Amino acid sequence: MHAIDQPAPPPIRDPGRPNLADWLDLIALLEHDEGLPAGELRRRDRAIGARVEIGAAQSARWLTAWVRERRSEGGEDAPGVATAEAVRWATGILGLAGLVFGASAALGALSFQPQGRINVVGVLAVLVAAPAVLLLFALLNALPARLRRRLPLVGSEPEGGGLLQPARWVLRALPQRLRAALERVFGRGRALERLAAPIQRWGLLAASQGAAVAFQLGALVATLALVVFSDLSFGWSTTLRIEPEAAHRATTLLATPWAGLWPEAVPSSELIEQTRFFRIAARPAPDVAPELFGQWWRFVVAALVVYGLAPRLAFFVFARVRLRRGLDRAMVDAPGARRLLGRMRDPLVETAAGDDGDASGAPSDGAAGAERDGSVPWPEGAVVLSWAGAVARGPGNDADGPDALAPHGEAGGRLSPADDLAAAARAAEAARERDRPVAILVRGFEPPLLELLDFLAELRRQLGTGHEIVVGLVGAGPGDVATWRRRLTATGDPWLAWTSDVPFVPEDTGLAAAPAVGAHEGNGRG
Amino acid sequence: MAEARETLPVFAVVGHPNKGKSSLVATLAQDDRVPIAPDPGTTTTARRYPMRVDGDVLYELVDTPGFQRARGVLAWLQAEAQRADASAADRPGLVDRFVRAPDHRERFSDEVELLAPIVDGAGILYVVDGSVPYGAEYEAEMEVLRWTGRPSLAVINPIGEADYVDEWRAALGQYFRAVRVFDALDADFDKRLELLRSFGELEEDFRDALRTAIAVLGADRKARRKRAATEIASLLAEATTLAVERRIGRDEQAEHQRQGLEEEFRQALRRLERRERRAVEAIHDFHDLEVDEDETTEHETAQALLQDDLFDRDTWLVFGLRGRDLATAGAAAGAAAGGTIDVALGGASFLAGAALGGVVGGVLGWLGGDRLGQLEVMRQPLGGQVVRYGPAKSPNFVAVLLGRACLHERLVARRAHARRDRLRLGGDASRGDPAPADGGTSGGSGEGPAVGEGEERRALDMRRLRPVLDALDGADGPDQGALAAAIETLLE
Repeated sequence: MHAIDQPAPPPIRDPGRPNLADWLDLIALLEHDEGLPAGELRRRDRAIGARVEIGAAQSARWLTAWVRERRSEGGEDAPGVATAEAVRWATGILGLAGLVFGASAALGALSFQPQGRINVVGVLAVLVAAPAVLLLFALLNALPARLRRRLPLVGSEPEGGGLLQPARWVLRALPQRLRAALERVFGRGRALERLAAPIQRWGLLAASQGAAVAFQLGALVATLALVVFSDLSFGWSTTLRIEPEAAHRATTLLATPWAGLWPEAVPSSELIEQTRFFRIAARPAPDVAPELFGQWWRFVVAALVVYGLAPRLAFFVFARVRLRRGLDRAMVDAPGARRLLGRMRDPLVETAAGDDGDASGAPSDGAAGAERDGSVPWPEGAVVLSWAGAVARGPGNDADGPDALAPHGEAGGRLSPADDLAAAARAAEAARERDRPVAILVRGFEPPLLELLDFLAELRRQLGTGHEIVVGLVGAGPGDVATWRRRLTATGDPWLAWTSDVPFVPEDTGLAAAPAVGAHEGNGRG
Repeated sequence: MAEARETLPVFAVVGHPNKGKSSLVATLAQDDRVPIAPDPGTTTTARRYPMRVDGDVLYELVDTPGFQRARGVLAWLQAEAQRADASAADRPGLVDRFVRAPDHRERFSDEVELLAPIVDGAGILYVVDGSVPYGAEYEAEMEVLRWTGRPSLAVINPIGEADYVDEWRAALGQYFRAVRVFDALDADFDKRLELLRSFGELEEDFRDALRTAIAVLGADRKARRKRAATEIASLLAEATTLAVERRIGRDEQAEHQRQGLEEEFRQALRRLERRERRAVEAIHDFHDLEVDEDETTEHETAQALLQDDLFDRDTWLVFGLRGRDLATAGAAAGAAAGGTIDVALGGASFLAGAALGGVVGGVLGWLGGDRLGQLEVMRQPLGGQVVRYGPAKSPNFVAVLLGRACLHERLVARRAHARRDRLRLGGDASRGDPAPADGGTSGGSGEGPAVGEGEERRALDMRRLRPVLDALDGADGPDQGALAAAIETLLE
């Protein structure tokens, strides 16, 4: 029924892969939407979804398109761009620092000539061996969480932490505004922490590896500059008793990767024998050809490229790829994202008269608005379990609504823990089969017990990540809802939601008559 | 284990989380610092609250965490029983084994913590909330408690408005030897003693110790009220001699100072009252009690103070003398001069000279004081006026103050230590702070549910107030001993 002469809105084409700003804004916008009436969301998101021209399998891109569309409409606070800018700043500063630091390290190492010669051993120690140790720490940080937690130093911080991450130090030195933007994302409570952890980890690794690549580049450029613009005189020296033959074997081994490509960069045994110098003999033996002292530079440069730059570059690319993949995943896993995809993809069917009616039927009263934090509307078509006899099974409910309103299974209460396991498995299977959320009805006026949280954890294990579980609080008063919210939030499960808007008749009819039964003052409990 | 059972009655307060266990403990242990919070799982370790008399423990309450995985515990017990083909007599032993199994410390930390005192011989006080319906989820924990074989008492604590007490009574009766209803937030002293008495009936060994405890608590109650009466007595003694004064310039209008002075007086009075209240609260073991007063309190004070004119002006002099002092000195000087004439006349004047001289000197001194006060020496005034407010001694003032102090003491003495709200002292003291039950002081007007300070004060008729007023009006100032005794009878 739109006005006929209104031009059709342009189609939304593939926006490409999501970036950090998109993910951050997706979370912020979904959080903002939690308080809005379901019907309004449905209409708005379907209007966007109908224009999207992206393959159905590309869920992350659908969400990216949605975020960019919403952002272009303006209105809501979208902190993602500012935060992503902060991250770019941090990365840039880090890279610049790496470059300067690398160049100065090379200049320093190559100017240290206590006996008129540059010691190749020292140069390699500073420019290749020391960064390699740091690379080892970065690799440890990239290990899977389970292994990482067992390592000292690296596993000391809860997620993706580790002491030896220069990116972290730089983050601490950022201006307040940028730091606040970052903390907004990474300090939002446990549920988001779990989602953000891989992004944080791979983001930090990519940033620190970027800085390390810059370090190696700086060192390489400075070395080449010195080779071209000055006359470097190399030699090698060590307090250890190493025979020239052994040293030759070592350098030949080190030079294997480039021996075929660049044979001049492989030191000969003559070079090694002739350019060794000792503490006592301050001057080289007069019979050594002076050009020999310059020949070492090729080896030094090749070692810098192969052992310094290349692994860093590889690891940097790897971290970037993981970050990208993590972002794709995190987009789809964001709390409420799957619901949003459903709203965008499923055709909008409206039967109610008028434009201002709430078509999807979820009541949007004041109470729902006040309880927006994590509270969702009742998931229609969910696989429903009744915990500890929260609602009656059978005729009582059937009489009041369609058959689908009777719970599909029961757990807790008089049943044994083994029965719980079976119920969780059945519910998970049904939910996966039908691709529907699982809803658990509980007596909302009773406190959440560990027993139930164990059951929720078991259900999560069976369902896998990303699948929504909704706890329906039967007969809960405002005080009870707050208690449940705190407890459920503390589980750190981003796909665990709750609602006090439950279309079931409580087992005890007295409750229906006195819905505020759980609305006790906090006073006097213990 | 057996030894502990014989010597010291211990009661483990157990139940679902958030059902008022800590409230019950706070009220019975008279400890307003027992942590009570709306979130379940506030109590994570068992805490002991011994009742001591001069260091000797008479009984001990143990506040425990709530059951969190009761079905898990029951499943373990049943599996073990089946495996060992155990009879009902073996069940307590199985619970003991459950508690001592090292791996249960982590998985069932709450249950181990709450069952440990029970397997060590404690009696069970199982607490439920009578304002929510009974549910199947309670059965596992009640069954576990039954397996311990220990004497048990169920306490229905009605936390909220709704009433499911009968439903609970029926369910609890199947698991526990006795069921009592006890509102931990609203139980007065007698109700607390009554509950203790029923603890004593749980087991023969407990009875004597509990009986002694109840007697000790009764005597202690009396002693506390006596100490509270002493505090109120010293408040009255100080308040009825309280006066504030201010020196003003000789040109200033004394009347302008009236309002400020009155405010100062009232503030000083409030400070005295506050100090007395803190002391009374401490006597009854309340540490951080906050008291709410509405404007009627201030209004009552103002009304009582209006009845006498407490405002007064006088002259002050730089030598520290006042107009009155100067008149006295003048009279003495005049009398001395007149006396000399008397002596000269050989007593024929019958001391008329002294009398006349005294009067003349006094009048001159009084008038001169005002004059002198206006003199300036090196630009410094030699004197000026002093304005004064107080002391207030009218029976009405005493009645207001005493009435308020008595009401406060009663409310505090009656208050359950589980309560965490503010104490309401105003005219509409509501649900938890009803009128004192003894109708004697309410003068037959205690029908309404809300009885506040006004009623209390009216109830203090002159007949009852007389001993207090007499004690205040002693020849050498207030007689504190008599005053305290008089107030104590009012508190009873």
